[in-house]
Amino acid sequence: MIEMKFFLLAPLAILILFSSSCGREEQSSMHKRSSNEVSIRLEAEPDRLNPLLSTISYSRQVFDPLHLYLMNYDPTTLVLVPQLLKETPKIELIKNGVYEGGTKYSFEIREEAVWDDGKPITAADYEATLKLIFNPFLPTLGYRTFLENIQSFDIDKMNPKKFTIILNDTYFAGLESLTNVVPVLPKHIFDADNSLDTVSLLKLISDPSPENQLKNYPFIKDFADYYLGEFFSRNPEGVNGAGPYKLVSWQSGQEILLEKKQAWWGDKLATDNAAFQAFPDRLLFKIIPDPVSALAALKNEEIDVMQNIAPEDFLALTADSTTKAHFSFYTPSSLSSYYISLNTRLPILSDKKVRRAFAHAIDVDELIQNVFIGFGTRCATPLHPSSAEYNADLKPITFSIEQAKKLLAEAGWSDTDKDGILDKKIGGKKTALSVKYLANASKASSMTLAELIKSNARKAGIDVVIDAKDANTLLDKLRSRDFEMISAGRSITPQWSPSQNWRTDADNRSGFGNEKTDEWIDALEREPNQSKRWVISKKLQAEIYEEQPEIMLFCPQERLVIHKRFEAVSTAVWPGFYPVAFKLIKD
Amino acid sequence: MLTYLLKRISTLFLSLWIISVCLFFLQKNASVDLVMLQNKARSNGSFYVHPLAAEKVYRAEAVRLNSDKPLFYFSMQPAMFPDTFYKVQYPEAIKVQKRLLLATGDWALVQNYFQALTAFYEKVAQTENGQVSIFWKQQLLEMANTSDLSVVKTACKASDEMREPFIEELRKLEGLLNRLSYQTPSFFSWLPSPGWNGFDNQFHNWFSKIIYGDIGTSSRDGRPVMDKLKEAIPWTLWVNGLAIILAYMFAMPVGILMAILPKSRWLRWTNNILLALYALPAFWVGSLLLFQATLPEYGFSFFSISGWSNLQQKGGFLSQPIPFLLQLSLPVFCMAYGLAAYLTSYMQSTFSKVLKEPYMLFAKTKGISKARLYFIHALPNALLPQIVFVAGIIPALITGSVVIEVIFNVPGMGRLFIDSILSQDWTTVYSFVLLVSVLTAAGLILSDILLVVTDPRIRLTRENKNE
Repeated sequence: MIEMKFFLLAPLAILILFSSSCGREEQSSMHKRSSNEVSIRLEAEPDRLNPLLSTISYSRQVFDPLHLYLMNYDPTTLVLVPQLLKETPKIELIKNGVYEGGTKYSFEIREEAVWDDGKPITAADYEATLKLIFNPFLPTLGYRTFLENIQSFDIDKMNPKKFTIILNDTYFAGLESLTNVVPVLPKHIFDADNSLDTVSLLKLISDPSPENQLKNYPFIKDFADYYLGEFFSRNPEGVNGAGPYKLVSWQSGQEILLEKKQAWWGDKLATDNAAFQAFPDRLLFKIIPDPVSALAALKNEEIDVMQNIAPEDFLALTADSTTKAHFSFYTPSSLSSYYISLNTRLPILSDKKVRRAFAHAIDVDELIQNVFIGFGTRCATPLHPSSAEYNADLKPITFSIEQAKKLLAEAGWSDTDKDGILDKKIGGKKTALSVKYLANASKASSMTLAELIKSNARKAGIDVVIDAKDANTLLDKLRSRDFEMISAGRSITPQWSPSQNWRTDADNRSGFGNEKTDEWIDALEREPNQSKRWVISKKLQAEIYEEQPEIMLFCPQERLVIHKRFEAVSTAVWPGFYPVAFKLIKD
Repeated sequence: MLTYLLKRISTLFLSLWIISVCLFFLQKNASVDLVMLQNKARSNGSFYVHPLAAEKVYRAEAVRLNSDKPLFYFSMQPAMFPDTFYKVQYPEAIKVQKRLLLATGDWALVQNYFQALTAFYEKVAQTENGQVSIFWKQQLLEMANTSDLSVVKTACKASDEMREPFIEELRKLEGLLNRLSYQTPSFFSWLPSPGWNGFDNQFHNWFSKIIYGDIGTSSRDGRPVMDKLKEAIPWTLWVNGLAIILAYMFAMPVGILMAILPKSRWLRWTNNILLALYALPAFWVGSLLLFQATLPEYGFSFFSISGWSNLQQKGGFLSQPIPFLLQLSLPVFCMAYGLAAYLTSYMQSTFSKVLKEPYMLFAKTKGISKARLYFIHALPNALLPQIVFVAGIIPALITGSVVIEVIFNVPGMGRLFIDSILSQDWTTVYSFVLLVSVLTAAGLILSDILLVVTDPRIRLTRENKNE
């Protein structure tokens, strides 16, 4: 009787063994070869498919194909081209009148631009999108910083697709900020009862206080709660926009399916304008957080595209014959860079020579080799080396311990107590050249970087003390400027806007700058002529290079794998590819 | 019996309340700046605002987040703290003002000081950008972030040229600094003074909603938390349920067999193997299996990683049992093998213990058949401790295993839990923890009742006590 219980297990085992379909492998490849569906791996599940409310960077990959912007970047040239707009807007400086000193932008939306239900896309849609941004009960603070400069928004009475915006000053980044920060959202969907018509955009902009705005427009909080609900973040009707794709289904934690719209009006424009390219029939985003599972799925051809592959795994894939047969490998230089921020407000680090000595003491090539297995290129300024604006005269600082020692000696540091660490009398007290380095305890690459820097700096007589903290504490310390040395990464935008990080009163962690550099930055931000602007930009880059408030390390290369059946182009913009531009190769 | 049950259930409610309070306060302590978290801008990650301009922004956001209310019904803080301290919203400001208050004991003075700093900043922000305004903005940045008055005093020192445009503000500030330095808290201001905050507080607003069943919407994606839980529970139930059933199906017969058979080397080896199996970590075995069993280059590949979505689309188990079982087999195996190993040795030891009892010897001498001996006399006694164990497993059924679910991409409760914590989605985390607490308590009550029902000895001892 006891033995019988064993045999209950046997049928189950036999069932599993015999139900395997041996031909499954060939099946999947056959299906793949003719499929015009791109399967993309997502590292994390998007929180919301809403451009205004989403806080996870991965969500942008998914909702971008659903929307159109007034202007968008051409994937290969990285130049702003009109998307919803008929042509590049006319920009006029205002010399007199109420808005003297400001800039006027005149926009016109394309004739053929319509929503899915046939209604035309008009200026009212864009104005309503801006009203959403300035609703004090929505978490959209990040979008308001530039748009606060809007002084007037006028829609042409004759043509609802024509409108003008007046900004309070001249900004070279004004065009990008007005046309490429948020897409145009369908007013008749989120404001079906036209309650926003009673709201004045300028009144919202002028007074950010929620209590005051609640008095002006009592329904505004309920409207925000309604907009924060599920409908505008997960439901296809609430999420779809003017773009080439529409949301079909979202299986929580598993996958999101986008489908190309039939007879989309933008297809005709694709031949002339790269911003309208949309080749695949379907985009399937598979959510696979675990990198091991993701690699397994890749090898099984269950996904077509994978980015941010760990360098060792990437090398292994390039050597693997089955992967090589089905996939192409790309390593575009990504628009991001790693750097070490030094707090120049501290007495030890306020000396330029000390900072430069530090820069000489770090073997960046070894760092690239150790942490990224060679997938990186050195850079010397906050811009990307491939950009024409990058000051190529500035060479990356050479690794030279002797040079470091020389500079430190010039700065008055010497090893008086023979303990291998330099010291100097600061304010009458003997101070050792010891700097605390904040590292991210939860990231292995950050800790490896820290150890390498410590060992390098020691050779020059600098004592680096590693202070490992978790990511949240790091952010807090950065915000309160409570750090001495910290390594960080930044994403580089196609147009450099130094006022955000390099102006003395902006989010300036290192404490760089004085009134001279502030003047340059103000002049740069207001200069409409590109070549004149680049002259100032290169001057500013040289100053940053001279002062070394940040030790620029390198720009990592993206490690990207795309299935061979697509003709694809990799790009420097994250995530390194545009799935909408994947063309199925027809044999 | 009934009174016992009622007593246990009433303690359940009390413990749930205590758990909610603990959870609430733990979350408030662990919470990252929600304003920064929710207001992400396009490429840079967040917006920036000078610390002295931040308070205004944060107070506006607090109205939006409903966190401009006191935390709890009552507060117990030193008498020097005002009832309205919760109104300060910017995290850095809270830290600095708290430290200053504890050092000086005079809230009005600390407030005046901060107002003076803010007014100073506002004046500087309005002046044209130049050497002087840049200098003072930097100094104010340092002053706002420190509670060390000597640092502030040093920061105020500058050349007459620098001080001249803002001499009024500086004089006022220095006056306040002097008063602050000499102010020390009196003994009585340290004494804890309770304050009643009324029913309009954050905890009450949250808890009263939960009591009525409204566990809210997730702050991460706006979905009702109930929906998220309803979606995730079936998968976890399937994985864990199957794992437990399979583990028992293996452990019961094998454990009994091992207890019955005569001692031999084979038996010792099996024990060692079981111990080794129990020691193997599930996450390692899981990753290994994932690679071995799913990739063509290592052998068979009839298991697939991402087949869950197809299953979800086509309606789950009933429509296609075979692929469903296939998809589940790897995670179920990873969960089951350790449990099976443990249960087998547990069963073996309890069964051997029972076999050594005097009444078993008596039954043997009566001449009963082996089958009757084992199944009618020994087995029920051996199963008693197992009842408690099974009842303790019920919460595990629902909570799931985070590690297994992440490796095998199972869209279940464990993955939901870890995702919610990492994305600061406290509404879902609360609901999850409360659910687990209720189930654990229910499981314990159930095991108590089952023991009382099945074991007459426990009933008898009770009755003896009552007499």
